[in-house]
Amino acid sequence: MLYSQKKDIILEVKKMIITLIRTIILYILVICTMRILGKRQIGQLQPAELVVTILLSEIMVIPMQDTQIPLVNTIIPVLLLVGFEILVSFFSMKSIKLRSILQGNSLIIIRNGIIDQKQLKRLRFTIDDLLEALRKKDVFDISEVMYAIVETDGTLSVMLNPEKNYASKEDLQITVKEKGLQCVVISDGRIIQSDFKDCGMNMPKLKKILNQNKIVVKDIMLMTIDKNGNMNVIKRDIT
Amino acid sequence: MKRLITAVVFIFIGTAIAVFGYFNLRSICSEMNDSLTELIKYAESEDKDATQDAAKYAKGKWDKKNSLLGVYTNHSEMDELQIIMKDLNRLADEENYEDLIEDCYECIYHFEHIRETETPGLGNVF
Repeated sequence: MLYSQKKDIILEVKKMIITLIRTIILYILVICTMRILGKRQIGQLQPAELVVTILLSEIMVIPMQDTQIPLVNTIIPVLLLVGFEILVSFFSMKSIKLRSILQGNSLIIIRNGIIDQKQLKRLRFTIDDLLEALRKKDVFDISEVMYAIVETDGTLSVMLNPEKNYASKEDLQITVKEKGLQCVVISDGRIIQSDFKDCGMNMPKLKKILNQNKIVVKDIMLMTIDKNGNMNVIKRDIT
Repeated sequence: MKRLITAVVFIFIGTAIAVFGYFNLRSICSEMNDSLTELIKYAESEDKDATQDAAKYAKGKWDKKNSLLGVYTNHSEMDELQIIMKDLNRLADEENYEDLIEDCYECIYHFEHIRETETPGLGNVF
């Protein structure tokens, strides 16, 4: 092998190592950023939050592909964007006015089965968009709608006329015994103590239940229990 | 409150890196330009020993500062500078003053360019 060829290979390997290190750094940065920004899903993001998320991903992808760009050119905007995003969300929690400026307000577009065309125009919503959104909410007749509200994230909330609404247990005067939260106490053969408090469980109690049912922790795939002691056990498949 | 502190810390770190980087970059560029101007002066007077010393000094300074400069500057520009700076000692030893001066001017041009592109002026911002 020629000296120049060897040198080229070494150079390529070096480049790959640089890309690897950069990717690891950026991956850690992505995880930290997403953890700090919160757990909201894409559909629940406000428009500004969605734009910031897209911006962040765009900023981070460039230095991953192009090793010629200094990493600091990515880190600075990421830190600033995350910082500003947290600041804005903090102050919008404190101020209703700021919240309405940044996120807008939800708007009523149907009242008692009548479409508010002014609001529809304001939102640049076509009648087809509205009908589609209503159909997605299982509403096929506008006259059934008492109120339809376009939320700040663009989704439509619908309140049907009382006579068209589903009857609740309260309407039917049915009393239901509260089951409480089903807590996972054993998952994949391991005891999960973090949920014990929510279902009034403790270690001696759990051991007692296991002994009574003659089951071993490692044989259980999933065990859930509620406050009333109702439990559900799924054993592992032994193959 | 914890989130607010995190946000302020993030903004502070981001701003600090940017401001420190800007001033640091400016100082590195002017230091390098000063030592290269000195080198040109000696090369023009064809003083062999002084030229060799100045070339060694400029190269030494570059070796010290280039990693820091690389943190803020596009690496392709750094590669071009690295290639030219590597040659300075050899040209000074060979007494090839014409090429040495040309290379020095090219380096100065690059450093000036780096400094200008990092200046937060209207042209660069927009």
